[in-house]
Amino acid sequence: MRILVVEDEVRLARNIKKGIESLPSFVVDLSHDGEDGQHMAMTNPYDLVILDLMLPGADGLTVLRRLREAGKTMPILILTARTSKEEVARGLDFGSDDYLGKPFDMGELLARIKALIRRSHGRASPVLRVGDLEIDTRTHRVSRGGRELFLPALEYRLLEYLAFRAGDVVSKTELLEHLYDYNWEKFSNVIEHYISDLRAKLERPETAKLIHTLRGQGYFLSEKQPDK
Amino acid sequence: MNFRWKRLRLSARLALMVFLAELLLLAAFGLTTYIFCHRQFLISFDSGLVANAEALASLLEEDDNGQVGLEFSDEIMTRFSKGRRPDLLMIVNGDGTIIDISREFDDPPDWAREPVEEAVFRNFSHDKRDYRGVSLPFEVKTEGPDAAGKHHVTIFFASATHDMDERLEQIARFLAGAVGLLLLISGPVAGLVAYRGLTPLRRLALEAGRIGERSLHLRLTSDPLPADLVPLAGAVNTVLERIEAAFERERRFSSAAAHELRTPLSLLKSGVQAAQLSARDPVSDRKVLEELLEDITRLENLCEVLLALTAADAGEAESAWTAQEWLDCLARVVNEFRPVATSQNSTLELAAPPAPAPSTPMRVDETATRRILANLLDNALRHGGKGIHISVAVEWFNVSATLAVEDDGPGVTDEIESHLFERFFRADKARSRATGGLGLGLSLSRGLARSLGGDLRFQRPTTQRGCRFVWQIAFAS
Repeated sequence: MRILVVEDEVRLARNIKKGIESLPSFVVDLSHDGEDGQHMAMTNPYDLVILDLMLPGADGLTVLRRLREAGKTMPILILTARTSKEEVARGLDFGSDDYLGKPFDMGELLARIKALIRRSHGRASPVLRVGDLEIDTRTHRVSRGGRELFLPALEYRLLEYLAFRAGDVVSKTELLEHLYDYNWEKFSNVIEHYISDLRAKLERPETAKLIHTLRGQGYFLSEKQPDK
Repeated sequence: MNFRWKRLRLSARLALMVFLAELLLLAAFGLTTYIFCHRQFLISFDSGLVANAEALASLLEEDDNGQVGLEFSDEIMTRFSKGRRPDLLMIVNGDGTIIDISREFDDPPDWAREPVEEAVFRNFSHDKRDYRGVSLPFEVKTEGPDAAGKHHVTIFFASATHDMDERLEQIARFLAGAVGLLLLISGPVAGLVAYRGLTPLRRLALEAGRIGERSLHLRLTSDPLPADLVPLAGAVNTVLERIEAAFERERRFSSAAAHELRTPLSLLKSGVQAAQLSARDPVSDRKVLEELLEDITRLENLCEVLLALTAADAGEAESAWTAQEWLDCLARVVNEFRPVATSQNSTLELAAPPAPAPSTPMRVDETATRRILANLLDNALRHGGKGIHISVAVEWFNVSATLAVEDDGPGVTDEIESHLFERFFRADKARSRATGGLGLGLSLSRGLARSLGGDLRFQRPTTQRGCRFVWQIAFAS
C-alpha cells in the first residue's frame, strides 16, 4: 500500500514515514506543501493520504475539498494540532475519514491507517483469507493450510495487496504504483520476479493455484480456477 | 466598646438603634404625660384650696368689739378636722396676729402669717405629712381701725396632698409599666423589622454567592432591588465584568500556549517512536538523539519566551540606564543585523542623535532593548522581503524618547494590522513556523515596553508602503 503524507514540519514528516515504513505493508511519499501535496494526490494512486491542516501553499482543508471534488475517494486522515470539537467535526464534514490530534501515539496512527485501508477495500476483519491462505495484517504472518510462510517485506506487501484486491485483475503497472514510493525507478520486470518467488513459496503441485496470470492484463488472487 | 460595635451584625445594629429610639420616645412620652397629669391635679387641688379659703372668707364678720372673727367657728373647725389628715386653717390679721386657727395646726410656720398681695401656694410638711396650702388675702368690710372701712386679713387653708400624691404615684407606676411592656414588645418587633428590612441585601448576597469560577458570566439583577442598592449591584457587576475578561484572557493564553507546545512535543514523541519501530544502528541512533536534543532546545526556548511574557505581564521589568548607554546598545544591535540585511540585499540605517542630556536615566535595560529592537528588525527582514530599506530613528522628547523602525517593504493589510500584537498571531502561519518564529514576538515586545512605562505602537509609515513601529521609552523620574 502506498501512502502520501502531507506535512510541512520536515522532521515530523520523516519520523512518520519511518514509523509507517517499519511495517512491511506500506511505502510512504512525503510532501511539505499544500499545492504540491494536492498535485501528488491527484496524479498518483495513493491508498491513503495523511493530511496536516496548517500548510504553506494551500491549507489542508482546501486540499481536502479539492481532492473530494475531483472524485478522489481514497481514505484521508487529518493529522493536526487543532483538535477542538468544532475543528474535528469540520474536518470530517469536509470529507476526511479520520482525525488524529498531535501529539499522537505512533501505534495508534498505524492502527488507524490499517483500519481505514481495510474498510476502503470492503473488509471488516484484519485477517485476510483466500482459500486456505491466511494473512494476518496485525502480525504480518502468512500461512497456507496451517503451514507458516516467511516472506520478505516486498513479497509480503505484494501478496497483501493482491489479497485485498482478491478476485480482481491487477495490472503490473498498478502493482508498481502501489508497492513502491515516488523515488523508485519502476521496471515492470521486478514484479514478474516477485510473483514467481511468491508462487514458489505459496504453491505446490498438490495445492490449488492461487496466483493466476491473465496474459496482457495482469494478475489476480483467487482460489477459483479460471475458465479456459 | 468601639471594637464590638463594628462587629455587630447590621440587623442587630438597626434593631438596637430602633429600640433605643423607642426607649427615648416612650420615656419622653411617659415623663411628659406624668408632668401633665401632675399639673392638672395640682390645678384641681389648688382650686379646691381656694374654694375652701373663699368659703371661709365669706364667713368672716366683725363683732361688736371691732374684731374680725369666724362665724360658726366650732362647727367649721370640727368639720375640717375630720379624718386622719385634717385640713389646716388659719386666719391672720394684717399684723400677723392669729384670728382663728384649727386645733391641729399647733405650730404654724411664720411665712403663713405674713400678709400677701395675691394667692400664694406653698408646699410644706406638718406632723410628718405633706400639705399644700394657699394664703389668700381678703378684705373684710368693717368699721374698724383700717382705712375706708376695710379690715385686711390673710386666710390660710391647707390640705394634705396624700390622696393626690397617691394617685400620681399610681399614674407613674402605670406609665412605667406600660412603657416597659411596650419596650418589651418593641424589642423583638424592631429586630424582626430590621431583619426583614435587610432581606434585599441578603438576597443580593445569595445571588452573588452563586457566581463562581464556572459561572462568571452571571450578573446581579437590579430589577428586584430597592433603589439604593442598585449602585452596589452595578459596582459588583463591573468588577465581575473585569474578572471575567481577565479569566478569558488567561484561558485563551493558556490554551494558545499549550497548543504551541504540542508541535515540539509531537516531534519528540514521533522521533522516539519512529526510532523504536525501525531498524537501529549507531549512526541513525546518534542522528535521532541529535534531533531529539534540537526538539528539547526548542521547547526550552518556548518556555523562556512564555515566562518572559508572564513576567512582562506582571510588570516585573524594572531597570534604569543612561541615555548614552541605551544609544550604545542600539548601535550594537543594529550592527549585529547588518550582515543579515546585506545577505538579503537590504539596507539598514541608524539615525541616533545624541541625547540632550546623555546621563538622563531611562527606564530600559539590555534585555528589553535587545528583545524589542531585534524583534522589530527580525520582522522587517523576514516579512519585508528582499531589497528593502530599514531605518532606525531615535527622537528625544521632554520625558520620553522614541525609537522608530520603518521599512519600505510590502507592509501589512488592514486585516493583519488589527491582529499584529495578538499572542501567537503569525501573518503567514506556516512560513513563520518553518523559520522558527512563534508569533509571540510583537506581543512580548509590547508587553515589555508597557511594563517599563512605555509603549509599542504600529503607525502608517511616512511613505505609502511598508511598516512603521514606534517604541516609546519613558525617562526614569
